[in-house]
Amino acid sequence: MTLFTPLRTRLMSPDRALFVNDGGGFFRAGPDFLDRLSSNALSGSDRRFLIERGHGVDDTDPLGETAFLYNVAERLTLSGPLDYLILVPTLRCNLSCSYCQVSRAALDQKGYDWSDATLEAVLGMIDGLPGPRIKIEFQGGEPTLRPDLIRAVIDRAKRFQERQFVICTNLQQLEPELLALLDEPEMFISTSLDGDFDTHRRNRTEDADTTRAFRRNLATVVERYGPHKVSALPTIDPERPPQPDALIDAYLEFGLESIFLRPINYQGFARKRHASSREQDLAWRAYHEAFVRRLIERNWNDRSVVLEESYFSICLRRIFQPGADRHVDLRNPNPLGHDYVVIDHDGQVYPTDEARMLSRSGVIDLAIGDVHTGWDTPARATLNAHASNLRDPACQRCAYQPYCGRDVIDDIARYGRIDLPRHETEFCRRHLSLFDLAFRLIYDEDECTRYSLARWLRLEGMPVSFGEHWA
Amino acid sequence: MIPLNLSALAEPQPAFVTRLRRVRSETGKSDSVWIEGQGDSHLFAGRGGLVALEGADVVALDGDVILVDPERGRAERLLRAGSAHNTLLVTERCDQLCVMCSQPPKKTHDDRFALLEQACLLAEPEAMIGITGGEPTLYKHELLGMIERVHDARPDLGFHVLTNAQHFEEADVARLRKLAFRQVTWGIPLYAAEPELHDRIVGKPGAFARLMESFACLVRAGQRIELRTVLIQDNAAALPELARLVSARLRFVSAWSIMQLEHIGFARGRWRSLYVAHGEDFGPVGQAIDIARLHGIHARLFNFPLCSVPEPYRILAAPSISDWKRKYAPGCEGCRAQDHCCGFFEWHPDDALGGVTPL
Amino acid sequence: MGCVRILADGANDPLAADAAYWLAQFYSDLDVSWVGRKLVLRADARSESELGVLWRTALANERLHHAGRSYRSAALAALA
Repeated sequence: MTLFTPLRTRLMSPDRALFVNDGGGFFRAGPDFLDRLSSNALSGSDRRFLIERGHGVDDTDPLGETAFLYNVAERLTLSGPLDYLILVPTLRCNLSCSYCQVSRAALDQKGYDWSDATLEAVLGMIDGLPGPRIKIEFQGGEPTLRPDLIRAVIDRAKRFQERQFVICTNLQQLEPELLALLDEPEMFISTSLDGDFDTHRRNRTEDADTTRAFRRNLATVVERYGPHKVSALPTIDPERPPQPDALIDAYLEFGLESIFLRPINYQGFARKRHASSREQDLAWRAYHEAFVRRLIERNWNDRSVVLEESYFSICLRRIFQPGADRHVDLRNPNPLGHDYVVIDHDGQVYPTDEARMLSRSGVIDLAIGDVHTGWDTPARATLNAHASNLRDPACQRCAYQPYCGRDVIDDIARYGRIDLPRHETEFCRRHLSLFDLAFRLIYDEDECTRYSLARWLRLEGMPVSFGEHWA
Repeated sequence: MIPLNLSALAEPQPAFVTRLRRVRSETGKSDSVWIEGQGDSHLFAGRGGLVALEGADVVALDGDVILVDPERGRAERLLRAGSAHNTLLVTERCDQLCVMCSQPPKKTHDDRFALLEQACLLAEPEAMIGITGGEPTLYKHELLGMIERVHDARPDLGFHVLTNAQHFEEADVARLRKLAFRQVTWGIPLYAAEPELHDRIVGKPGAFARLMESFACLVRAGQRIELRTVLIQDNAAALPELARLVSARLRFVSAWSIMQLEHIGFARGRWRSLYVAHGEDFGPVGQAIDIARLHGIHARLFNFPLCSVPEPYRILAAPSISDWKRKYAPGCEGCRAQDHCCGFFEWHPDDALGGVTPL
Repeated sequence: MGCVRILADGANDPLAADAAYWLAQFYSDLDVSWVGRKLVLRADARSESELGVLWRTALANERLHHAGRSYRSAALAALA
């Protein structure tokens, strides 16, 4: 009776190690267990525990191997047909945010909108999509400068059984034509809210009137549609991050409870004005943890509101609920240019929005094709050759491999290459830190912590514990 | 309570299946069209000649697929038109003896597969047909064959088969991978994580181990599985442990239905020693749900009246009691949640209908 | 500030050598170096006892990795 133990381990505290199996199940144990495991001296109750919890596969157990394979498969992305499009109908914008990543075009510039031929090609492409569902995100520039193009696309997408649309907009203008689009029940709004009045003005809107107009419009859409139709993201200067409470209050003012903490990345304009935005490691991570802990306190003190840091919630769900989210930046394998693509103002096709912005800033051309001639190209194949973490020698040894992913584009953006050892990349360091924090909280018995974890995991009740301990 | 059985008078012949039609213009060759009648007595004519039925009015009967047994003077409404709760009983034999069995087994088998197959072919478009027993897979070959042949003619139909999954083998895997079985959900009971406890509840030593073998086959065959657990005193405290098993080793189940007890069959006589008053102590059920939901298992509550479930978990309580056997308590008057609530079983003891609170 | 010296013979024991290499990768606050046949681990915020457990964890992880290689390859091949 051979017991195979597909486990990886990581130290959690001076005398506790975390063990994670290939299917993502985990437990904590002390050094004595570690020694028994290492020296093939597992006790009967050790073996029983490991088998019952899927941490060990016994070759005489008929279900063991099948269940193990199922759990591993559940963690792997099953890339379906193309059903998620990011469309950039115009690169023109009516703002000039200091950190803008897309090297925007001015309002009156010509040649930065979809041509008629490009629109036709996009509509034709939508006609040809095979699946029953579609998600379309409009980016830019400022996409609401061309409500006619947005209208043409969403009308064409009406044939799909399941539809979801997102407009990423700075909400500076809310005219009737735009409101009619926002009124569509499947339409969601994504906007930027960098913090309080002054912070937002400093980063994005420059003067008080423009800032007031934005805040008025944000209040209007939340009032009109309810907070669930609107999401906002701050862009944070890691050198000068806002006080957590100030940022949280700025969001609560508009009834917004989900905050995606996103540090500035140095692409496009951001590179010119924020030269020091490269190495933000430790300070940023400390800030992020303090922010999450503050959310836990505030959620406990006011149960009528559930504040969350969106990316941290995604990481938590990656641990417990494979398949719950389809966050394309954190998945394994991470196929590029298959189930979703970005179509730029000039019809060029990119695998991700980051890839588009990177190409725009002249660093490297990551286009994989164009909407007229297609994108099943050698460029796409090259990017996909390294789209998984399964064969990386570091990831193979990492306890967080079942939860983590691979972001080739992020590596290229930061380092200009994709073959750096994982630990030299910000993607890896950041996720090690995020999952370390997640597991510290998972094993924190404090009721306030358990309460927030339960809400972030969208549970009906509140589990007595989130992780097991094996003596 | 909706009557499923009718008195029938028909010309002497073997049992036959026909579909009742009120209006002549909608009649097909397997149909019997309404001639005359009033109240609960009606006369139909069709392939089996004249059939006089008593027990339901013609509006209710319109579109029903019935099985007429001239010799016994009975007709059974197999597939009621417009109902989502049609179930075909394929055998009363069973090789387990669950302590709470709602359909106590018999030793004899009345083979009706051919007739039931004919009935399926007459089902409404996209109907979901329940298959139950006894234990249907005691006649595995006939069952699988019926499903395959019905799928050939009616690929729009789905099946939900209740089975103890004691008889699936490696040899079945290739067959089950066929397209016909994509339309099937297997409803399989598991009462505890501890083999001895499960075996004791189902009255068969080795049942748990054999079930795990079947699971391995079904998973490799890509089958859709609904795991079912009836809540009784014997397994209540161990429900959280079962939740851990499901979350670690049975992640392939498409749903886990935790079910309240039905006051019928063996449960009737053993009610006091089996029934768990969850309204008074929801603890183990809540913990089990918490564990399952934490790990992304689609757990839900069947046959739990909404007001008896703590508010956060109500969203998991399904209106699960079939229309033909459902009732509400006198105390339910004025409740605005009746449409979402399963209510009570028709045969739920009157003295246990208290404790309801209109929502 | 914790510091431990562990007799590990990295030159002749590939498992120990690998474990030490990966230790430095996965725990960015550690200073990992070899002095002759001894592995020296230093960390500002970890005690000696903790560093000892850390080493055992790294060794165990490396052992588990090698023990599981063929099973894992077979499993992934089965899924492909």
